[in-house]
Amino acid sequence: MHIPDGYLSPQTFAPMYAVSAGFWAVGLKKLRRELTVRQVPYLSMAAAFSFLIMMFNIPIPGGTSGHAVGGGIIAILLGPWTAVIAVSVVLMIQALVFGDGGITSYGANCFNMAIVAPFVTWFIFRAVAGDKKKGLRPLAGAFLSGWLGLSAAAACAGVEFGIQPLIAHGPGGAPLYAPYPLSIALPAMFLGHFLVFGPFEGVVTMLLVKYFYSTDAEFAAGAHTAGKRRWKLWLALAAIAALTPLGIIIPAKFGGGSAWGEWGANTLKKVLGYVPAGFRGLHNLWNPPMPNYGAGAASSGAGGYLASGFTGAVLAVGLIYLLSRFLKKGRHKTSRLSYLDKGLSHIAKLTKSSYVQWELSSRKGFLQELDARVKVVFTLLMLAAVNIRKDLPTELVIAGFVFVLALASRAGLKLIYGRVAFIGFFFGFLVAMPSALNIITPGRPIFTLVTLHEAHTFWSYRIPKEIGITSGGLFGVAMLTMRVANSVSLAMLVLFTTPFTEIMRALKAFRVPDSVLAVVNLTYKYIFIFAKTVEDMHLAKISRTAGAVNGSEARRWAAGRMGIIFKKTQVRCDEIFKAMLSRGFTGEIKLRGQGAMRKSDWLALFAACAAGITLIFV
Amino acid sequence: MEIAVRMENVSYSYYGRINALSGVNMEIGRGERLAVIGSNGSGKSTLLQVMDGLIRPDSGKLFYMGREVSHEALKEREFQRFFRGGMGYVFQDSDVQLFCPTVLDEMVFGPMQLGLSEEESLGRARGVMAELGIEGLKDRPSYMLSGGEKKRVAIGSVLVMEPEALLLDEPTNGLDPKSQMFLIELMFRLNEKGKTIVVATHDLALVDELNGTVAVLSEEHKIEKIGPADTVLSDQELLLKVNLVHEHVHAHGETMHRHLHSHYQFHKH
Repeated sequence: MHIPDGYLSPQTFAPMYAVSAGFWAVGLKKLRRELTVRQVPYLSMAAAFSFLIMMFNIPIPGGTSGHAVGGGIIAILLGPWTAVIAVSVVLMIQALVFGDGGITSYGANCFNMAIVAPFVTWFIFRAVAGDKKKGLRPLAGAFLSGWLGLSAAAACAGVEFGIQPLIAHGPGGAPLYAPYPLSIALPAMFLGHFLVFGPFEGVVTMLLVKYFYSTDAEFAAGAHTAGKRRWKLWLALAAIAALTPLGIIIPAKFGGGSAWGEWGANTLKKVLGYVPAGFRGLHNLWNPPMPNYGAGAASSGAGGYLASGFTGAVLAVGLIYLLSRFLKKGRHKTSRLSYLDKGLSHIAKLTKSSYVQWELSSRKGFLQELDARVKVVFTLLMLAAVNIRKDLPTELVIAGFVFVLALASRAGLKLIYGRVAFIGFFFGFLVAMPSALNIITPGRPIFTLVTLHEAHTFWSYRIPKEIGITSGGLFGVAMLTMRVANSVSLAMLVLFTTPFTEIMRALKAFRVPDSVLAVVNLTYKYIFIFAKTVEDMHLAKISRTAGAVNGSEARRWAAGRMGIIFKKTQVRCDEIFKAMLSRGFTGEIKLRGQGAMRKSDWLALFAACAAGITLIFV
Repeated sequence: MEIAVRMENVSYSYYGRINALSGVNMEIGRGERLAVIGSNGSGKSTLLQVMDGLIRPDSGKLFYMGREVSHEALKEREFQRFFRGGMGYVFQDSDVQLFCPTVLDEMVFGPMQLGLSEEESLGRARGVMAELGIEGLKDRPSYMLSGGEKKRVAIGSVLVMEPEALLLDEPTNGLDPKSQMFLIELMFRLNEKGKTIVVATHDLALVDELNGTVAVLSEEHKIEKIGPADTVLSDQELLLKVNLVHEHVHAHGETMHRHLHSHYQFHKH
């Protein structure tokens, strides 16, 4: 249904742009007013979903194919205006990056798929399902509305195609743009969608409504669901993206051919015997970087298609994110304040994460049961193995080992691996990436990026003729990334399974002086208390300010707060010192040690040592 | 009665400028219940901190159990144990007082500094935690306690040292009525065991409840009066002078009515 450039005359595409622009304006305005930060992930997900679902081409044996749009389900779950923006963004990516749908016809495509389909779906769904969240009505409504919404969009496209010969023809009556009259174009577009693609869209819509309504009836009412569910949805999207090659494999198998009304110049010439004059002028308007979703080149059919699926989905998410950032920015006139707020929310997160750490570490689990001293020994041995060994298999074994332990301890996998991924990417992968090039690590490139006319030499660098990635360099990057990731996951594992105070006490067994431990403990504790103070002061400030505060005022406030906190710290230090004095502190601190190790602790210690030594030396 | 604490002409000023105590003379008998009252900034906390040897008075002398608490004496190990072990101080801000990793660490800190063995300290800690009903909080870090729990832990961390005298700075501040009652009952229980209780407060209801001796600090940082609770609390003129009660003006029908008003009892008209 993506009308390419050259099929619509300016008399058609210009008004279509105008109509769509009206909807965009209203949609953006609504979004700006109603979009909350928590909805942004859902909006991005919706756009990525729409992009991906359009890649699943369904063949009609005998020459054509089509696909679902996914705009309807977005309208049902997030509202029709949200769907307008999400699908329009997707269509823009498809037109600009993948050459699916034209630049001139973008307005018309948006009208069909991003406006007509969502609104028709939404109205039908409301009419059939009403306020019902359970039973047959929402399901029936979802199927019916998805089906008819897409059919309506197709009918619009058919009309747009069909009126072209009427309003734009050459001197001899030859059509300048889309060549088929309404009597052919409308049935061709409508029937295919009404009979095949529409029911498919209906089924997709129904399944999604079933999923969302049954797991969380509040979702449609705009309630926010837990991050866990969101995590699952992202995984589902990734799975859909991974399946996209089916979208060309199946049509190829059944001889589906390209969609009606999306032929190139060659096909047109073959079918019509001529290329319409207006078409010839417009159809090469834009050279997309990944034409035909990378499936054009025979060599990289399915692979290119898969890569396009992921690229497009990521682009959709990124664009929606940027768009919502932009919308938010327009809402508060003070962008600097949000920077300040962000800092404060980081502090709030700090307090929260230490609660989480404490809570996780007091959960029941394998590692939680063990003596902290055993865990410290284990971590040190493993860290040594991670950083001494120079082969990938060992790193992978350790990574697997850590993962199993984390699993057995129910230690917040998402928390641990979220941090591992972040730190591993920035401090492992990105840092080591340049060394993969043969400019830095000499060697024969296995994958050439740039070919120069000749090799250059300046200072101590030699730039070879062919710049590329070497296998040695690649190995180095993998090693560093794995080392960083393993080190971080080990540290996180111990941190999330051992109360902070126990780790400190375990260090006592390694002859760390009590006074050092006391200072670290105090620091940890007071960071926490001051984080709370800052949070409270911020809330107190919010409660006393009405309306927006401008940037400079906010910064002055922050500076003042820092001063106060500094002063408070000083006063408190004094007080704490007095409190310690009054309880007998005389200059050297004595701390309580740990109890005796149990049998199971000794056993674990032995196992940890054995594993560590094996990993280091064998 | 044996004298537990004696202060002779003690003066103290912050940074040598802001007066906090000027020429304070007082004696506290062993096993006495004493409330130090005064408005904000009258020097109650300073008085308690001088009493605990935490700050060194500009002039004047402090005696504990007949021995002078001097700067030099506080450097001797033997005297430290005698004095720190004998005098317990509960700070107004529990966050200041709780500086150990967990509640149990908090409990054993004092005894261990006094030179008790770990087992002995743990034994005492168990006893005190049972008495205060905080065994369940044993492994909690102190920042994960509620205000009432913090106060109990703070008091417990002092009680494990088995002090002779207990100094409490605004102990009922910010506590709910139940925690306040618990605290007052605890103070009586300790007092019955022969411990000296000194409370600094401006909560007249607490003073009434405690019903011991009252020392009134004036806004000039002097001891205005020392006497039994009932006589001090009924001396409205004195209380007005030290700003602990205020004149209350309100209308009774046609005429304006004016009377002294404190907030420690039901306001009867």
